[in-house]
Amino acid sequence: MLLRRDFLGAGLGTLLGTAAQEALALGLPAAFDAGAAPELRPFAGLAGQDPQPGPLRIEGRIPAALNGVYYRNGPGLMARGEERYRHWFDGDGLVQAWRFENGRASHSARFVQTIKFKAETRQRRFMVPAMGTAIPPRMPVHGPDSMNAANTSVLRQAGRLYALWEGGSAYELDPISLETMGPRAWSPELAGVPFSAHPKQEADGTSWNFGTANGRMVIYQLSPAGALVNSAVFAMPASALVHDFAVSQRYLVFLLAPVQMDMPALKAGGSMMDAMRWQADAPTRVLVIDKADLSQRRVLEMPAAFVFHFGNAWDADGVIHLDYVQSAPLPEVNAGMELQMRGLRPPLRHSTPRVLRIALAGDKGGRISLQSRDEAVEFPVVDPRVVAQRHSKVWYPTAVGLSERWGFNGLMGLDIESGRRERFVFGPETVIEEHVLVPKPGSSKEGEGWLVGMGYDTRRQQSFTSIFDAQALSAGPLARVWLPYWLPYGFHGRFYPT
Amino acid sequence: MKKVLLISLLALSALSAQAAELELDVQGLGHGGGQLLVAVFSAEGWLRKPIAVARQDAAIQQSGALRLVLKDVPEGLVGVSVVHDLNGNGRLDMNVMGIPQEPTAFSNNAVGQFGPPRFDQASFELTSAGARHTIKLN
Repeated sequence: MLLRRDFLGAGLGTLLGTAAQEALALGLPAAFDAGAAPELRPFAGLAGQDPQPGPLRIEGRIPAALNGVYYRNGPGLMARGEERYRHWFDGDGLVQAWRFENGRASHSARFVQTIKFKAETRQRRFMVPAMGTAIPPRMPVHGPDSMNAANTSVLRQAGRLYALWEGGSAYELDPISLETMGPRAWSPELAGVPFSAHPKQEADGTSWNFGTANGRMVIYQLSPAGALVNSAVFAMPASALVHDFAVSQRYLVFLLAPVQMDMPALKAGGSMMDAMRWQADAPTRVLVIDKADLSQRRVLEMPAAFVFHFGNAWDADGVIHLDYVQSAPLPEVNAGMELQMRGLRPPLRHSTPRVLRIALAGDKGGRISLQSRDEAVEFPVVDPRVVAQRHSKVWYPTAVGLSERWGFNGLMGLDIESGRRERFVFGPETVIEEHVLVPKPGSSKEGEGWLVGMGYDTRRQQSFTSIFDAQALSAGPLARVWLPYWLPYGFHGRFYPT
Repeated sequence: MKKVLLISLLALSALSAQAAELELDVQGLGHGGGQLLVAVFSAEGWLRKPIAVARQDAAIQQSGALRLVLKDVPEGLVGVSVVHDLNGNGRLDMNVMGIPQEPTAFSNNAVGQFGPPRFDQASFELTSAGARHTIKLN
């Protein structure tokens, strides 16, 4: 039974700054016990030191043509002192670099030294609120970047590397040393403005991204050299959490779920996640924006759906085709996160694949049709060569044959046009995370490449990177590169060839 | 620390005839440019209609600290906001998303969630004996 002590509402606001009151943090006790659920051990997080390089053990053979760096980001620190975060999204960003060259591999990892992380390391306690844990502010908060955890994804663009967190700025890192350089502003006007963790890089090097705050949306169009070539800011249909979007040849598409922020609950001292309310009877709004003229926007409706992640989108003859993964509504997801963060298995709640078609009509209209599948998946990826182009293949981690165990244990490749799927499934001792598609040098066909991503073995308590042939997925991994220890689970990564 | 005396505006409310002195130690100024905008509010006009205001050139700070004295501030339950107006344009600048671009702080070092703190978080009683508060900008 959780006790949320609303010490602000209890009239103790005038005593903020007094150490005794500050001890009443709204986090859970730091003790963590995953004894009953060994797959949840990595949610304990790390203490805050950068993991030391250790000997890597290679099982199988790393393809000699796989040359480049796989960067991956995720929440690495979950507790300080007696306080533990209540939500997976809260942890401080730990960025990993897996370097592959000629069949060999090396690994490094560093925490992103954000304003927050540096202050909290110095003070040995959490200093600012997190999205899912209402830590009382113990230092001045000047906007989203005061709380930036830089923990969700990575982007390499024009030779620079960034750690991404949707609530604030991209944080620039040195691509070789992973040393933190600081928040990146794409223009003076857009300094400190949110930059989502899901930018889309098209084949010509153009990047598209968005951010949301205070009922407004910003769109970014970046040139291959990293210059801001176009942007727009406008009021958006209310949706308290927008994580990802889709980009086709001509359009940007957002699925804006009916999640509203309960402002009184928030101002009374609850966390942002706790204050999110799901309106099951309201529609999800489909926002379609013309890439060539960002002021051309239309809003369509579909039955309430919450979406974290999209695969890809393409359009032809006035019809937009896109795929996404349908999640459970956000408040349910948040409740599950709370249990995970205490080492307890959340109730099983599968996310499943969707294919959406939007037949546009005139300037403002359109008709939506939807197809569903029932496999348990998340973290969809496509071949980077087909982003914003016609695509048919999507890969996901998947769960097969697990009863109560949290997480995925296999990989699935799905052809969304034919419906054909191919899978490789490990036993219940293995947890599989997002795997990205790395094109084979010299190939041109969609899907000709490797799948590269991470996983965790609950018996060995070690993390690994696995490499599969994407065209022979059911044959199992070509190689696994084992760390001598475990690392916390991550969210998203990208591979950049040398 | 240099002590600077400022004359504050007379109370806008005709109901209060009692006034007191409010001393503010502002700390953590990032750099010496621009000015500090100080505003005192009662509950009814919190962050909309100040009952006393003051400005101070930020260049007089020493080691990021600066003291102001506001005289003739109406007594009662009050809250204070401080803005470091870096570009000297007389207001708190916001970016295109409505996120403040200049450092702000409030009495009791109160911090709000997604916006300024509530009055009850920042408020304190100003009596005829006066008050002295420390506010940290950064």
